[in-house]
Amino acid sequence: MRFVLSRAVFLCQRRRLLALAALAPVPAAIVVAFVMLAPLALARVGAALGDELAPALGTSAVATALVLGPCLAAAAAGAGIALSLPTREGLGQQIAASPCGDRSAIGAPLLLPGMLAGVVMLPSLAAFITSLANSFPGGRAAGLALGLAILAAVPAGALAAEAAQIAVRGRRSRLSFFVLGLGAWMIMGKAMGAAPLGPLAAVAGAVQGRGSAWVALVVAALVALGLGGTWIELAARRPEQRPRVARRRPLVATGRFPVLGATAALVWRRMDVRRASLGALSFGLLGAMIGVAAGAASPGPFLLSTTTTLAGSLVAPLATFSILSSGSWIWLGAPRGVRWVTARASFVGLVAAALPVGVVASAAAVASGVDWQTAGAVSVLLVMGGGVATVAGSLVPWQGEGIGDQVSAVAALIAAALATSLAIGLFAPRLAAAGLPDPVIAAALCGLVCLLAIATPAWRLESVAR
Amino acid sequence: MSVVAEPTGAEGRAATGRPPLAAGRPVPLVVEGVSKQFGRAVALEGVDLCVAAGSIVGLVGPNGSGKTTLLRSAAGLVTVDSGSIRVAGEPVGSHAARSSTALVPDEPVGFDELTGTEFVALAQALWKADEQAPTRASALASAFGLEGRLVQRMGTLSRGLRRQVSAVAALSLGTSLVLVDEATATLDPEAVVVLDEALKACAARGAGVVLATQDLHFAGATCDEVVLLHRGAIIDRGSPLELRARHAAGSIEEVFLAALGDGSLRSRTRDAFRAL
Repeated sequence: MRFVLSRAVFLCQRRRLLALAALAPVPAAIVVAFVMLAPLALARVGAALGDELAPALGTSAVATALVLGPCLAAAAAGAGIALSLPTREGLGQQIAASPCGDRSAIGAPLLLPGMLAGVVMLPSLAAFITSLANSFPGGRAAGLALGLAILAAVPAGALAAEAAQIAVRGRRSRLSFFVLGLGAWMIMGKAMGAAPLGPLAAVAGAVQGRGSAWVALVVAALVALGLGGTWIELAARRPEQRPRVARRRPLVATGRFPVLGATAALVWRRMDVRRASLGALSFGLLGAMIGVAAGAASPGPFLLSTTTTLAGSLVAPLATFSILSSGSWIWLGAPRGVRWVTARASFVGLVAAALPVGVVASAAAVASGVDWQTAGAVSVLLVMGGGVATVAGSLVPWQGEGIGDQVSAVAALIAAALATSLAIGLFAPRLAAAGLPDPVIAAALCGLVCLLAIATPAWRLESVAR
Repeated sequence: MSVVAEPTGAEGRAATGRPPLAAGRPVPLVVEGVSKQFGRAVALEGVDLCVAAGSIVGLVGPNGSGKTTLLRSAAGLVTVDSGSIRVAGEPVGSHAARSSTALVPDEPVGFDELTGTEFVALAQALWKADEQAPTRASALASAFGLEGRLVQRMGTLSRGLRRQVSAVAALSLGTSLVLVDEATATLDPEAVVVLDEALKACAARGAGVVLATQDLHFAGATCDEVVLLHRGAIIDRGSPLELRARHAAGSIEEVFLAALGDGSLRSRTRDAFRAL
């Protein structure tokens, strides 16, 4: 029965993606080409980074940071996915009422998107890690262990999100299991030399060449499997959402900026966006605390915390198009141009992404200090990330409910981000060589991405209407 | 396990000569003292309902009166705050209860990319329907005039056609409980006639049918028992004949307005609009 449902969902998602590719074959071909080329480019980036880091990799702090940074970002992404995973009713009431088990109902929608995310992400991750690992004292096996640790961090973040949901939904008795698990995790990590990493601290040891890389590989694989299985089990038994108390005062501004007010209210009222933003904020602040506690030099804590927050807060711009498309009848029916609407909606999505990043950035700047150049770089990253997320969410909509395309949308975001990185890598050095100052190049690139973030949802809304 | 203690079904249906119901069959749906709140809003309050095998029960009431919540609770999609629900003798939400329940939702969403045929086959596979299910589905599709439409993807169908495909999928399963939300909404008159006959056929083979509807004419003509819900509570119930007699009303619409204490609604509204 599990496979009946999985097959049906798989079929739906495959047909949807093929329909999207048929609708825009050239952009789809470009994205596919970039995704195929990305491993080559990332292999070069990994090798360059490895050469730079090689002299410092023997120190415990650098090895721990090398594992902790990407793991924290992966955990934030995992939390975002968990918080927005549709419930059983996401299958539609009729099929939700069927006698299929809760695990099947939760797991089936993840099959194709998971495979897709793997196809998009794993070759690039493998190429990057393998070339980076050439500089590891622990060798390539330690690199593989690092890759697996990053993958294991996704369900770890998802589990943290489940714990938060259980707490919010008033099942505090169940929380004791999480507290015990977290305690065991920290004790294991402490014993291995890095408490926040838990058993994954074995990977940091392997990167340094202190411990066996193969043991670290097995540990990371076991952690990934164990946490993944536990997450699916818990997600299937998630307690019912507590009813929300109705607000007395409406949030929508109906005065001079009705579209901005309405889209802001729609974005803010989406539970998946709220939860992802809250998760991103928590992970970001945690990253800043870990960075400061570990005594990392400025701007290390600032960069670690803001980039971690950005990973989760991009759900808001990613969801912008699905918010627009669910009310397409009014946007398209109104006598305003579609681009007029999408410009405002994209702006709202970007602001929603910027809010948690801003809070975390302020906290990290106060705690560890930051220079204007780094703050500017993070701002550019935020605008570019928000724009790319809006474009990706328009191509593969992030659904709050429905069969659950969150992981497909994340895969689209990764693909779009890879394509953007490669395009910038190809053109930005040429512009710099032509004598353009960096801020001008950054502003031009941000402007281009923002234009795409307005045009793509407009084009998709119009194509929905056709 | 509760069993049917008395013969059921409308007087009218008994007169049509349909086969008598099997004795000892578990009662398709027993709802006892069910309450449910969403925040401060009371959706259901102490609702008792027994749907016997072979009977069609209609839930009618104003918008927000709890009809859909009651159906979703019976389908195991909503956890009630208090009270109990048993489907075919099994606790609601259990595998056995879900296997015995088919739901036609108001808004059949999801699986837009499957064709109608694929959607019906999916439902039959999930419910592990018997070998007669494809035959029943074929007869239902033919009656609804859907033959040419079943090759189309669900997402390309109008809402009314999607609901018809959803009904074909649900009614072909041969479950002992059939739940239909907003039974006639978006259906054309021909489809309403087919649905009416299909539900009566389900009841005739021993299923219990519960439908929520705003179509009072349909409720009066199709249901053996009409249950009036208001603010989550049952305010009156009985066969259409009994209700009309009790309220000295000529139609179920008049019964509805009288039960809500709003018998003068039409004249009041007419007066109010005259001032516009």
